[in-house]
Amino acid sequence: MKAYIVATGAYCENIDADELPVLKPLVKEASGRSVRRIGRFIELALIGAGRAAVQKLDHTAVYLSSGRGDIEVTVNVLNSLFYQNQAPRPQTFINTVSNAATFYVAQCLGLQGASSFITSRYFSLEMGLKSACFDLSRGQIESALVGAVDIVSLPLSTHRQRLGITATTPVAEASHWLQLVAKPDQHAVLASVEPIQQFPNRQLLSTWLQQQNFEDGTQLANGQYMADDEAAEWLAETKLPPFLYRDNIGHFDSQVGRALCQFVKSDIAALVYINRDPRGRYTVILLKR
Amino acid sequence: MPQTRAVFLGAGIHSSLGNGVDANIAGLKNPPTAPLILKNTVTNEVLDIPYKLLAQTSLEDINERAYTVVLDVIEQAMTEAQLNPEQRQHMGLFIGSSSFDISVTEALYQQELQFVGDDAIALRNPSFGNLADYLIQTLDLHGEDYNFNTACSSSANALIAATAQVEAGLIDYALVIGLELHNNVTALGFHSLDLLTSSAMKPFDVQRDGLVLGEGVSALVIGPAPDGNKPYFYLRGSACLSDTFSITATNPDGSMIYKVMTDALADSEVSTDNISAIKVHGTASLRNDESEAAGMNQAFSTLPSLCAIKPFIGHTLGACGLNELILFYRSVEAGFLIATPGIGIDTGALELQLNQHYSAVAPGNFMLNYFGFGGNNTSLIISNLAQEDLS
Repeated sequence: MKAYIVATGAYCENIDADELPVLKPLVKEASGRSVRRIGRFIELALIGAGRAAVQKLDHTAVYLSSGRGDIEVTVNVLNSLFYQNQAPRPQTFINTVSNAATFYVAQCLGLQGASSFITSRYFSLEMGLKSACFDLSRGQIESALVGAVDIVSLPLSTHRQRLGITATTPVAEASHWLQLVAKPDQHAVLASVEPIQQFPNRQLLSTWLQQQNFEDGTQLANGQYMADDEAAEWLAETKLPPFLYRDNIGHFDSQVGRALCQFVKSDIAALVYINRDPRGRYTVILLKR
Repeated sequence: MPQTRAVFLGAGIHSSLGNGVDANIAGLKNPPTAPLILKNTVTNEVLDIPYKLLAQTSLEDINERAYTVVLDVIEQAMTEAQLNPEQRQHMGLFIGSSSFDISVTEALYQQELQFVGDDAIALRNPSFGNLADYLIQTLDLHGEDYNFNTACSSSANALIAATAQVEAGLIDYALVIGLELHNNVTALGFHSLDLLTSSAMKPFDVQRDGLVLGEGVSALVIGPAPDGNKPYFYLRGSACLSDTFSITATNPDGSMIYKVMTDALADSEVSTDNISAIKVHGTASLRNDESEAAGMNQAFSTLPSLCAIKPFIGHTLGACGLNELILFYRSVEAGFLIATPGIGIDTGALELQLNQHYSAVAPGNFMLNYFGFGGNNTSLIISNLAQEDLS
């Protein structure tokens, strides 16, 4: 279940006013094309995926995740129906399917492999990444573009209520992508993704961590759904220094993507990323140089 | 060939034909019935929406309906699979749906609009993972959950992923779920696309003029076969490919459908001569049926029996992968191949014919096809051949 990262692509911007940055020039720059009749979710997917797809591999499969999906288009359709009492426009309705974004990524980048939208409530990109690594390791695919996209919909006050975060929490839009290959020999590898682990409880994770012999320079990143006090406990237990990847970026749902992309850009030897959900399940991603 | 096959251990289904596998199989022995015509009044006009709604379940208590139905079909599948509590707890959960819990979201928004008017917020706490999160809590599941949203191939792709994980030994058992329930976004979206029929759903028929939407929720437990001689069905191979011709339609020359079918055959190590029957996707739209017919005619020099299931239960969209798989394999186990008398006899230039008679069927390999919006094409090869008959 090991895979190799050969490129990353990221877009991550705070949204602090009731105005969203125009993305079309970035879409053209990243994907090489101007794409009409698409919303921000698809635009963000194209920016991140286009930036990551530096090596053109025809049979690359696409794995897209998102914490909340295409909020913009779904809200538009719901408002159209129940507020304006109008049926959705055909193109708007079509874009409600999440794999509309994977379609445009595959079409713009000339990819013909499988494409999937895979997510999980608290481990969105983690499950997409695990699926891709598994398919790579069993020879089902040779390369993969794996990404997570999270958008902001205006007004910001409504967006925060929709997501259940406080009225003062900063928010951000993000698109983080990794290009992975199964075999490292023909590519310039930036990092390896070791087999992704999931544990049904804290005790099993703790036991696993004790069995690991992390190399010098390894850092620990705690996931966004972990409480601060528990995050501190894992730092103490592993004796690993913290990997600080959030900087001053606002809330979005797939922050694991930022952690992985930031690690690849850094000169750190290895990264242990631990996330947990409110049910007490844990996911661990280990990246190595 | 994997060392451990992930066989179909237990199934549950609730569709317009009935609640439970037996009721559904009984329903398949009769010709398809006409759909209900729902009078949709959400917009400023009354729109006729042809629908096949869940049997014995009214469109009330929408906030609870999805959860009640899905828990019921899970229990059906679990009971049949006879897993013990520990096995249940550690299963992987794989859900495929086009709409997940959007029916609940709609209902909550409508209620909020009623009470707070302009202050109402559409889409509170959205996530495709909400349903899985509910099931994890309610059923005390500890395994991983994967939620697939790839249009009409969603639950077929969920099954592929679940099978691969079981056969690789990552998990012992998997619970696969397909879910599609009535919602206005889907109903009026398909109305806007002008893809709904004005009569009945007639795939590949010269008189076809569109689809009927359907509700359907199903669950399948897969895992290693228990000791014994029962010839279980299993997913022998599969393929999933992107068709970037158009976001709403597959390439009309059939090339991408041909490709996904031949890739699935290669993955299964089965030749076209050894396919006993094909479960068609068959959306009864003019263009998509043309593409599907073209692909099948390219892949098969002689077509085997062709079965269409959507005339019985409607198009259950992201759930059709699992709904139609369960109906298909259980009808074969019950001793007959699904027929649609009077539908798809005269297919004009499509050069094929749907199965018209309820014939007996021997153990074999069967192809099931699913082609979705966004160019997501999936082909499954299932088999109930015993190990010694596989070569």
